[in-house]
Amino acid sequence: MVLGVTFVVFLLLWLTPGDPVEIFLGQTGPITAEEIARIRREFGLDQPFLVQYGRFVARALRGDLGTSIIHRRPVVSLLAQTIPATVELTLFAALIALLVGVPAGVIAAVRRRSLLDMAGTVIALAGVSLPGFWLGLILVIAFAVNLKVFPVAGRLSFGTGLVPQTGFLLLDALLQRKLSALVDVLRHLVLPAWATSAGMMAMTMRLVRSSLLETLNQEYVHTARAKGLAEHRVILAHALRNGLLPVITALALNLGALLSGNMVVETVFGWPGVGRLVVQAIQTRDYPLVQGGVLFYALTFVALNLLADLSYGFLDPRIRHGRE
Amino acid sequence: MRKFLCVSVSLLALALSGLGQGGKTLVVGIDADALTLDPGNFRHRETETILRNMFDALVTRTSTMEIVPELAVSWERVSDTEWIFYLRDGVTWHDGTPFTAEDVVFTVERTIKEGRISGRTSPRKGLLDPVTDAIALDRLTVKLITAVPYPALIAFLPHHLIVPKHYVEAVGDEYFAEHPVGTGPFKFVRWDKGVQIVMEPYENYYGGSPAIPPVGPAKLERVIFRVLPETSTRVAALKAGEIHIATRIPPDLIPELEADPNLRVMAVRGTRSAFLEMNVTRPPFNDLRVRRAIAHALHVDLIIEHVLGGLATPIPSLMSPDSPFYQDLPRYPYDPARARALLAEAGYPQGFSFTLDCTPPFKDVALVIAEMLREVGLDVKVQVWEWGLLLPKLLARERDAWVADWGNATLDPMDIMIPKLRTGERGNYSGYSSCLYDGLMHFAEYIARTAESRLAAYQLAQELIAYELPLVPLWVAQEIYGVSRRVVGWQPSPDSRINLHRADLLD
Repeated sequence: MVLGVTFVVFLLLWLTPGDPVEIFLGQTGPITAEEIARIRREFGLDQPFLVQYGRFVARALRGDLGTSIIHRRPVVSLLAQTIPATVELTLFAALIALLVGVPAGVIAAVRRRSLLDMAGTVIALAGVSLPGFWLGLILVIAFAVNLKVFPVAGRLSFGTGLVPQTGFLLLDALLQRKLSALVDVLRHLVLPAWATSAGMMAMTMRLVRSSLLETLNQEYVHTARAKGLAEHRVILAHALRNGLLPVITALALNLGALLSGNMVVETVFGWPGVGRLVVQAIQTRDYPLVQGGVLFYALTFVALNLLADLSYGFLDPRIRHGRE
Repeated sequence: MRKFLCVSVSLLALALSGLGQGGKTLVVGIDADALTLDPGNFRHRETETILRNMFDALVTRTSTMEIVPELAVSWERVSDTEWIFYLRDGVTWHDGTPFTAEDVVFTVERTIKEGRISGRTSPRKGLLDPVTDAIALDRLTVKLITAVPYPALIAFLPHHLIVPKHYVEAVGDEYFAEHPVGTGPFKFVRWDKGVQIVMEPYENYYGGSPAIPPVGPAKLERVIFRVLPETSTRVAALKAGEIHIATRIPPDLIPELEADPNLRVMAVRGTRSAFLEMNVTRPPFNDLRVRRAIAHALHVDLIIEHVLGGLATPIPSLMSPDSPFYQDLPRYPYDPARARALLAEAGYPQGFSFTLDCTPPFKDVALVIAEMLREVGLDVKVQVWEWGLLLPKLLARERDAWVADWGNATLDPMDIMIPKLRTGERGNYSGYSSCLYDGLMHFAEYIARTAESRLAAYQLAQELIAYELPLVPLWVAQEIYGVSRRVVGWQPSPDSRINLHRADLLD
């Protein structure tokens, strides 16, 4: 499947008008036709489509994704620098989405058709509908420019003494036991993660609400109540536990969408992630870099789908044992 | 409840406990990260802007674009194809090694010889192409030899930053590209890719060009170039006091910055000439009368005043008024009646339809131009393109007319008049071809023996273009910066370099 994706993307890029070398050289300066031909030759762009694709696959199998035309550095190293930033932002955003979405969904289900439920519905609708860049800018203006409680953009201030090693700055700060750096990294994470998580938060809330409403009508819930269990135990221990199954599956699948969907948020917050890198690569027709980025997305989707499938069995023993 | 309070207080503390940059740290918000920190391996404006603070060149430019000595003390042209540069004594690299003629030879060879940077050729080769050899005559004298007489050499040299031979040979190209060592006012501290580049002053800096006072080490304690690609974010960071200089401010955001008492707007005439280009290889724009009608139909001053906030200078031909080669010709006056008459004369009394292409930065301008052209009876539709898609169509001469610009950071006609309009050149999208123009370019480039004859040839060529109008020259726009009032000793430069050697930050 991954191979199929790379072929389609390679073909699309090849069919899209635009010459990476011309774009790289820019609208300035004297350049001879020989020089353009030489750069094309150096990056193998003078070869037929199938040769170029064959070379890409052969190299990719050895872990070499080629050299970026614009950055003039190996694609693998460019991706290695940016993937941790994107993954960290995505996981943090997912965490926020769960921490807010699940309790909000529970409250909405329990207090069905109340003012709280309706307010939650409206906020969820707004969360799904607001474009990420707009929400991001509003958050920046409110919390960074006016209230000055969070930084406008970036990932880490200078002067924390943190030496990035794994690329996951939260992890680095914990490993190096630098509390001030940890706080600094968290401060930088809050606004972009908020902007990224809005959609997922809303979706989680709606999903928890509907799933919980369904389970609350199940017989075992009535039984639990009949046994005289406290209402909060009935909801949290009995109903929610079962109601969360579809939520967790949806979450795994949505993580993929979240990973690819934060290109815009990364640009607004100057976040050095894969999304921003790939968007720039598409604009400049940096074929090797686009290929590398797409390969990363494809592999992530495949892995998350696999995880979601496996999680069914883990969460629901009936599926694991193959019983009807 | 107590738990809740604890969590709330910790969150508040988290929110407010920002790490100040402290001291005299000047932060520049730039719209793109450096692609590399190797001065020999890029074609990218922002990369040069950043590198300029860590590396010096043989010569540099003042803020008024005059060329003055930097690492070279003086130079002479000993023959048509030979230049001798006398280098500054006592200059050291950031690792303490003395700078010598060998470094200049190494830099030139690394740029012009094939396969010298990690097996690939420098993309800057074209900017130094006629140079075939560099020879160190002694420790501080170097001779550059060109294949043909190349009077524009000096204009290109400010863009060729000198790299350390001993260091690059010892650490290799790839390591050098991430851990640079230069002779510039600031030395490299760290590069968080996509986020920021941090530099600190080099304490043994020789002081920079004596022609640009004050001469001496940099005053700032630290300089950070922070990458903020989104314009709104750069403006927000400037207003929040997180950055002190923001690049590339669009004219419509000027009032917002001016309303802030802590900020000011600084603008300088840039080096990019904008034009309305026409495909002269097919009707209707192969008719000179039609092209002149277009020129008469455009009220350029009005566009500058209302769309560009007055921050542009109209040009009569390709060159900027800052260039010593600028020819002050009369512009085509705004005269819709004359435009209509010319169209009728060309056989289009009812006008005709065409599409005006542009990229997003020129969208507003293109819409206004289309409206002006409608006034003279032309049915104009505007199409906004992504540059990567439009470029191949322009090169294939599939389009009719478009608004675009071309950079001329050297202010020498060589890198605008030749690539834009000489027959078959890569920037000649209009398909213009004139034996006279090509001849003048050839004369100026290879035959002219004196500066005067070269100037005369280029000025004659500008007159020819103003007459034949393969493009309607529009303006040279200003580069706009948002700057904190704490910043002193810094002026924006027309070639968009941000040289912070002389800048300081008030408390």
